[in-house]
Amino acid sequence: MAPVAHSLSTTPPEDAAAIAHYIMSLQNPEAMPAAAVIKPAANDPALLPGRTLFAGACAGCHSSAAPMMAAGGRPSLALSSAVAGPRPDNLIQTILNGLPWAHTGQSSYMPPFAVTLSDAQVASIAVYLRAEIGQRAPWQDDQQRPLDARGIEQRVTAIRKENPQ
Amino acid sequence: MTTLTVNGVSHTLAIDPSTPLLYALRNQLELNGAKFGCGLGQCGACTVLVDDQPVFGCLTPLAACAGRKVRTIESLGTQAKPGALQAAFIKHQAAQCGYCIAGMVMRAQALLEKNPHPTEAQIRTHMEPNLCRCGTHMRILGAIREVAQKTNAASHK
Repeated sequence: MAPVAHSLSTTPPEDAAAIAHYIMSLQNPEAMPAAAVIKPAANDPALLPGRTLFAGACAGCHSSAAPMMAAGGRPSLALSSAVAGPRPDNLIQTILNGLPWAHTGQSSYMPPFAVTLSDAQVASIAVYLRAEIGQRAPWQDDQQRPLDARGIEQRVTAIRKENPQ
Repeated sequence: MTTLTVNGVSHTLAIDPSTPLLYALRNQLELNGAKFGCGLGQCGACTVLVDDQPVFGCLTPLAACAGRKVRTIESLGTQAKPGALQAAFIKHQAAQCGYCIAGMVMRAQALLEKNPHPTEAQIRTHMEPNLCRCGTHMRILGAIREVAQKTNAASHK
């Protein structure tokens, strides 16, 4: 997949739009609408733990000012489907396991944080990313109720158990 | 304020809780074994143990360390009385420039405490995150292998 994605990154914007338009026309039933865009309250205390951990663990590569962002021509995390998608699971998996080196060709890499961060800490980073970087309404559980930090922490605990040791 | 237990000693630090553990170890506690290499979790020069497991100190915020047990290479031995891995690294002359070595020793230490007699494949997989730009990996592996082959597991401490 990586070579495909890399090659597509050099596609002219009108071609990318045409491909996206075609793929969306294949969605049946219609694709789930993206979560509502929100503007989080400035200095929301619920986001503080995640903001602190993000600054120390993630910002070196993922802040808008990070050299990695410019060097790799990377899009903002706000555009990541793991942050903007309907469930937090992919984001949790990525934080826990990182992205391993591909041993051939061009590769994106992210170190794993499973040992570094507790379940509650992974959850607080996810809450912060979703609200302040992603500017999306909270994820929802199966009954369409908003998932709070505690609910996301329970997902982290469950996902850790599912992962191979 | 963050309270941090490093090598068995408790310290209270009045610095930004988002500060990476590596900076607190080097700047505030003056434990200069662990090194800043890439700052991206790609080289392992900053590897220290948190609750007996290896982490990249450059990507571990102080806020993630409260109440956990941090260990650095300074806990393994002294110049006069090096620990088992440190002695093996010296014997095998595993350091060229030496910049990666504290991280290499700590990552190996975590493996040998959990699995005193790892196979060659287990050693190589475990050590993969740590890089040596001088290219002394074969000597590093030789030093770890020697400790792993000793029969007395207690000698790893």
